[in-house]
Amino acid sequence: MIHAQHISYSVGGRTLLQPQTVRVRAGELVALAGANGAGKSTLLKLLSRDLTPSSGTIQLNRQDLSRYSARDLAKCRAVLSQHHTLTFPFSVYELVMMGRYPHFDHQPTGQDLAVVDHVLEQTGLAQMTHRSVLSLSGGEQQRVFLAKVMAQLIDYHELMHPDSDILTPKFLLLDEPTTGLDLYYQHALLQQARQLTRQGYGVITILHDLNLIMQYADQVLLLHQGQSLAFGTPAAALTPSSIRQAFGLDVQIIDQPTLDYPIVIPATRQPHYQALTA
Amino acid sequence: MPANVTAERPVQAPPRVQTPPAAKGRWLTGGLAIGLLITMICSVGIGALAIPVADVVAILLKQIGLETGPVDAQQETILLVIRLPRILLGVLVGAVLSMAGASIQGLFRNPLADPGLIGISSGASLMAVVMIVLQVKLFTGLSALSGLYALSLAAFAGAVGTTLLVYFLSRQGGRTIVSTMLLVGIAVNVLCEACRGLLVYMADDAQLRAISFWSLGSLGGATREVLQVAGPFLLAPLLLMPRLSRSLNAFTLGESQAGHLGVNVGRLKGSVILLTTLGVGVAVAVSGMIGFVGLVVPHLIRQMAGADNRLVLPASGLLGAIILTLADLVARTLVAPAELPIGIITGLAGAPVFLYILLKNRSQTHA
Repeated sequence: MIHAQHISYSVGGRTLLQPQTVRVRAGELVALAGANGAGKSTLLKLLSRDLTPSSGTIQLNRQDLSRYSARDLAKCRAVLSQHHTLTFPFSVYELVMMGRYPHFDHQPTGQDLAVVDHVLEQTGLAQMTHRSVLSLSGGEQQRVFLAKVMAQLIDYHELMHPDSDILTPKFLLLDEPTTGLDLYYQHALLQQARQLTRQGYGVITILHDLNLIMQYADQVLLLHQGQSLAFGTPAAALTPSSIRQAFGLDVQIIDQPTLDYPIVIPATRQPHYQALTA
Repeated sequence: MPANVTAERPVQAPPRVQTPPAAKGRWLTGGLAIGLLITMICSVGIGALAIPVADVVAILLKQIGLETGPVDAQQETILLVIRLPRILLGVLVGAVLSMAGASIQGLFRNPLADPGLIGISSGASLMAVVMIVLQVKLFTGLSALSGLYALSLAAFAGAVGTTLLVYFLSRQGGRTIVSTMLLVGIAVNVLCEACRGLLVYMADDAQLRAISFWSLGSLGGATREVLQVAGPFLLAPLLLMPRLSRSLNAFTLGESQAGHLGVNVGRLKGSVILLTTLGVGVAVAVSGMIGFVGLVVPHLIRQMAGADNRLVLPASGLLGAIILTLADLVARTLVAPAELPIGIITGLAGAPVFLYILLKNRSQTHA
């Protein structure tokens, strides 16, 4: 479990994140939502140890996050970044293999190769393993990077026993993972994430699409100007009033009898919304 | 639950046609290693006194205690005292320049980076010019102390000094900022160049000639003593840098992503800079400025075998060694008994190759 207690973050006299307490259990998919600049990425960076909180503590599996060695941490939490800067022509296979780097020293073992093969097939990349990542489209690149973080966390043991729970909880941190993906792969990605939670992974993801949150998240944390507006199940936390407060947009939430989750659609055009589109 | 999307767009499992990337790499490095051996044995025999390959092999085997027949004493002396040290030095310098180039390109995440970016070459060059122009007045004591090697020592000190300056100026709050390092490197390079220009302006004709020859590089100073002193410093980076290749691969994804993969990025940056400075600093000190090898050789390897540094680093070292050995062979035989500066050869051969790669890539991207 990731347990962040009263963490805040300020830089240069500006507070980007007010004290928050966040708890993510193994087996849960937690979404972070909010307007641009609300503090979602800051929170994710604190949880991934890219940033050190100005106050408060973060524990991962009951151990202080700061006490992990880089390599031990890499074995139990992976991060899918939002931006990828690649200037060298690595092949799809080489890039996904990078996910195994925390697990081997010089040459990948047979187990590492098996995990990479498994992940490549899971993400629909098995056909293009030899292509240079630079030659792929944005969405295809995003899938390659997703495959890399999956390869980083999955154990050979899990391949052999796909139905049993994982031994120690592991956490996947995703920063807007659906960016650039087509409709099919947006859902494929989140279903893969859901599948991982069923095996005992914890997933924390920034998502902009409230309907995806409604459909896939167990919990959602709605942020506004560095503060928590609402935290709970999507149906409870995402209400017309909390969404209006967070995004400045009126929405309607529709219950569809054929679906087991509600649908969010913009209700009316706000004056400033009109100004943007006019 | 939503409809299972994987059912909508089936991803058929392909036949496993996975050639292990390691196999391709073994072929390339193995081929280059054999190529280097052949290049060395052939070029050791070529020169004012030609030594047939069979005799070269016989002389070399005699050194490790395997007598295969009588060897010519004159041939033996020339080979062991003159040719072999020079060729070994060329191999080490070529390998270091290329491997350091590949490492620095990984560090800057830019295939066009060059060890010169962090001030190694300009610092070495400035100090060499200082020695040539001012030594009569200021450094006679030092020159007497370290004999013929004063110029090399000064160049090495200059390389290390400027790199450390760039390194420490680009540290903020205990971290080295790579983009800042690039800018600081540019500023320090300009400063060194200006100081060097001032000294060149003050120099007399003989000194000017010495400066331009030094700037074009040469392996003519290779002796057994030079090899004994410089060899370990060139060999150490060659053995240690490939150990960083996995981390350098991860580093090309960006510092934070490398950190997520468990790489200690601070230590990686420090190691690359330390090993590069040591290797390239010593290489410049013993052979002057040999341009372009560090840029072109890693490019060629990436064209052939992709970007995996676990392959690019050792293969670049081997190819760099081959190229510099061949370039030196041309340098010392083309206008014999005189010698051409080796920098002219590497430049003349390297620039067209580089242009070819650029144009080929351009036609690929616009095809």
